Amino acid sequence: MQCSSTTTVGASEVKKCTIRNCVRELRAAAGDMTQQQLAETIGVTRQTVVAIEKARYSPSLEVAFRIAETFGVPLDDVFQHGP
Amino acid sequence: MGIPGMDMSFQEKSILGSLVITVCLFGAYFIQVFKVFTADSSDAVVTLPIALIGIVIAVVVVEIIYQITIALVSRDEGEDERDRLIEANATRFSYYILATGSITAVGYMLISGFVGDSVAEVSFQTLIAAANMIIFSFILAEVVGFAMQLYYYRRGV
Repeated sequence: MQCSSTTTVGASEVKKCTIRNCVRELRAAAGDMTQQQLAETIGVTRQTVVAIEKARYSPSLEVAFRIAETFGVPLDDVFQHGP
Repeated sequence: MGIPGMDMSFQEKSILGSLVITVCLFGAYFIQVFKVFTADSSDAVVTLPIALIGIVIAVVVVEIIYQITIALVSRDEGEDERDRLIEANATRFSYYILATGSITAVGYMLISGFVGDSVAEVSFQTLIAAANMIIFSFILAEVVGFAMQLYYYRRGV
């Protein structure tokens, strides 16, 4: 799946990495699930789903796993990281 | 293309309102403080605590009205981990400003005591000035905290 959202995270003393996510694409693949529906399923606000999709926020591991479970895919299929 | 600001969440509207209310009302108070101390009128200093009480009451009343209004027109989705992270990151900046202001105020009082013959000579005017330094640093810390929260909501955290 082609992921569109990327964000750079990491403290200055740690090598920074770019995190990509496919949340928007997975929502579309899941029968055009709305941001509101996903937000309610994973227990965050719709604004947080928007921020994740726009790569303005990297969610906690707990939320990341809930997103993967919601779409029935491994975590690696939702979030990928690279240099 | 939407109107800028119209896509704001409840949290952003709440923070922006608090920022504007704090800047406007406490700004008016600190203009008064500046006028009193630059005029060097020791009599006028006693009016400052009364003015401060008035401003605090005004801030509370305006905040209540504003928060009720946006609660009626916007849907509050509650807080989640992103809101808490943004608040925590913004509070870090506020802490440094408040700590710097408080230490400066204490230093100002100590220096004022050493300049006189004894600590007992620290005048009422000096105490009011030091108290206003602490209040100013507290308000500045709040304003910076609000501004940083808005920045994190818009630019990401």
